[in-house]
Amino acid sequence: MKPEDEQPSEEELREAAALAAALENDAGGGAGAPSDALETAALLRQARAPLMVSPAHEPITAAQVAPALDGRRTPRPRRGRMWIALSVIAPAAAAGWLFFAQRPMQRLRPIQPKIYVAPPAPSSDLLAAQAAATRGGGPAGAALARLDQEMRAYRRLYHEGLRRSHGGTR
Amino acid sequence: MTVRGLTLVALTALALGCSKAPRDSEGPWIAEAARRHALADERLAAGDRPAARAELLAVVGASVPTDVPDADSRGVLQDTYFRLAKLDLDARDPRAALADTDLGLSYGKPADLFVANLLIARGAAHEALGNAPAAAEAYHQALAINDRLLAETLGDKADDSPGEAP
Repeated sequence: MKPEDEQPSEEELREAAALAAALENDAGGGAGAPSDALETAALLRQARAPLMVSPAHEPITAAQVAPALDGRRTPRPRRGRMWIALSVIAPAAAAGWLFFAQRPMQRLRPIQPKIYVAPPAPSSDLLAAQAAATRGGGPAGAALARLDQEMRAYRRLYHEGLRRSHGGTR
Repeated sequence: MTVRGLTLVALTALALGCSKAPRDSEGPWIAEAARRHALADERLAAGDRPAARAELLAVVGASVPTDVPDADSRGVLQDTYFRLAKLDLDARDPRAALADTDLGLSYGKPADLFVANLLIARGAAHEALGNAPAAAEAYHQALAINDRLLAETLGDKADDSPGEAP
């Protein structure tokens, strides 16, 4: 702050004194006080006092403000909220039904543990075809074709065994 | 109860319901694989190799349910890759056949029928590519497994037979 700001000037002191006099002379209207000090004092008084409506204007104010106040007191329609709640509750209810309805079924049909199903023993024909195919070099793919042919019957047995063991035949 | 409370309860129920949804996919997966193999047989019988190949690709392309034991899915998938390799060899595409066997063997190499078949197809692919040492190695590994399977089969048959009195 500048040094000149620390000390009020004579003019400022005069204005402050005039404002104080205007505030003190509430009823008297502050005779002798400058008009700007009177205006400032009036504004300060107005800010402190509650908002008053003159009795003459009361019926008009009541007619215009009362309906607005009544509208505020009435609860807002909750249709939007209800729709949001319903959209969450409905799928949740379905999920809850799934959860609780499945439990008795699980008791009746316990979860199958992971049991390895040993493949069926290969027939001697299949093993012979496999042994022949390991030699390679023969007529183009003949041994491999025979192995492939023998595997078809074995494959059916293998898949059937897996399906029986793991409930795939339901 | 407020809307917020109801929402919270509903969301909890939703999460519970979803987390406990039953999983019953193992049987259908195996049934589907069996069906595709049967269709591949039919396509091959009709001479339609591409269609047969498409059926088999669908088997290896399907995601395996988590409740299928690894050994079971391995058997099904390795057998399918063997068939794919055989089809590629028939189509004179040994590189594709080799890739099929690589994929099949990536599931594991226990000494069983499916792995032996893949090794045979691998040997044939190497043979077609002119890589004799690699072919011999693959055939040799397949033969070792075949010997073992044969011994087990003969052993089982010996156990089943009435046997002689001491």
